[in-house]
Amino acid sequence: MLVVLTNLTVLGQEQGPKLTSVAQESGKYWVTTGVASIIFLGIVVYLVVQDRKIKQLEKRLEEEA
Amino acid sequence: MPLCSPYLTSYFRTFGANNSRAQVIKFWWKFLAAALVLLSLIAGLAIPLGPGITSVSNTIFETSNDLSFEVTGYNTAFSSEELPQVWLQNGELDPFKGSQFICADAVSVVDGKTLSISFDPLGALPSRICHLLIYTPTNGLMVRPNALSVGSEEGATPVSWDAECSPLALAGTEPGYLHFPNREMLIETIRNLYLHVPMWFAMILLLLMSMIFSIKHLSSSKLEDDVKARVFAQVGMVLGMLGLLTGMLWAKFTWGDWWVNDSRLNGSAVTLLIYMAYFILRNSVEDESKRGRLAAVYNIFAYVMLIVFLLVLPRMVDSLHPGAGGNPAFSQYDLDNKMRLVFYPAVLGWMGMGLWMAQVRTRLSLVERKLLWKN
Repeated sequence: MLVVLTNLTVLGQEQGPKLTSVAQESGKYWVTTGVASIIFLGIVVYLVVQDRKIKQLEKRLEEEA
Repeated sequence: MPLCSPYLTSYFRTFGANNSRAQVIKFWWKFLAAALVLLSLIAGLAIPLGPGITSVSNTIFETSNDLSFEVTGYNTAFSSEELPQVWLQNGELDPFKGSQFICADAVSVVDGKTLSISFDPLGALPSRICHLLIYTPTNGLMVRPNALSVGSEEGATPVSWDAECSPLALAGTEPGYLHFPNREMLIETIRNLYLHVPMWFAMILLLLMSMIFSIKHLSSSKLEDDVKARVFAQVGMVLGMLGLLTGMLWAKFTWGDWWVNDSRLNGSAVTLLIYMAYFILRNSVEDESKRGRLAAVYNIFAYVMLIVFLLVLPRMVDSLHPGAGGNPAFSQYDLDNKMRLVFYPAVLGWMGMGLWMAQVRTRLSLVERKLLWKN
């Protein structure tokens, strides 16, 4: 968590005049970031769901044993 | 997320207030891994590149004539209020040793991304290659290596150097905001570093775990260890294939081809083939106990080959990859400190995600086995 917080702190800094970025101006950054994040979050949600289902199965097998 | 919310609520409840502290400790790393990968995706794509020089309109010149050309910048903010200083550098680019500089005679700002630059006849130069350096307080010092070359020196008088014309005091000057380095060949593809390399690192970790479980299986003969060795190798292979795909995309952009004859590329392909053979070997033996022991022995040798093909051989011969020809990888030349802020969390995140995926698959395999025995 320390690494995450350190990063977020650094990202939040405004140290000087910010220049216009070509890719950000055209909107490509935000579309790419959005699509990549949604795909990744989909994988995480899938893993969470699978994790939980397996946990239920493990519990049931333990109880039956 | 109405469909997922019951699952999520239940999932969170499993290590919520009603459960023990041990369970919280058990699951925290999964969410940390996901958060780190998400952070690296967002930060890796959203942080802009620093300013750089994209193109020079006139790249070959005659030293006896006036030299005029236009320069196009990338992510630059040229302004007539802070007129840029421009130099041509003749000699070694880095670290400025033995170089001579020529100051531009006239510089005008066409727009935020374009400059018009002119030099008086330069005279006969010691080296035929010139590097272009542009500085403004907002953009910092931008360098275009090998920007111009001498076409003809006919009738040129020897160059007269001006000792006061030098950007040395400005070396390393950068814009004040957080940005990634603008490297001539890589440009925006530099962000691929946060996917390509962490995926390979995660693969190496997972295959190491697979080898450890193989050794454990050989010493204990527990089938559970064999299942773990197989699953860790499977997930490692998936990450390896993704690393290979992201590398091929990067190679197409920077080296001009999907696959080049490079020791690390060939080594990675051989490594993946060796691990494919591991799965073929497993499937070719029916007896579970025999399969486990045979596969475990092969897995140990496969990992040794991975070390040779991915980590040793590419360092002994020349390669397009960083860390070749005896150079240390991820040195100051390969990895900018600002990139480390995103790169290291990405490495940890992808390793964690790989372990999570392997853990889920292992548990699923073990449950499947139990259900099969039961029926």
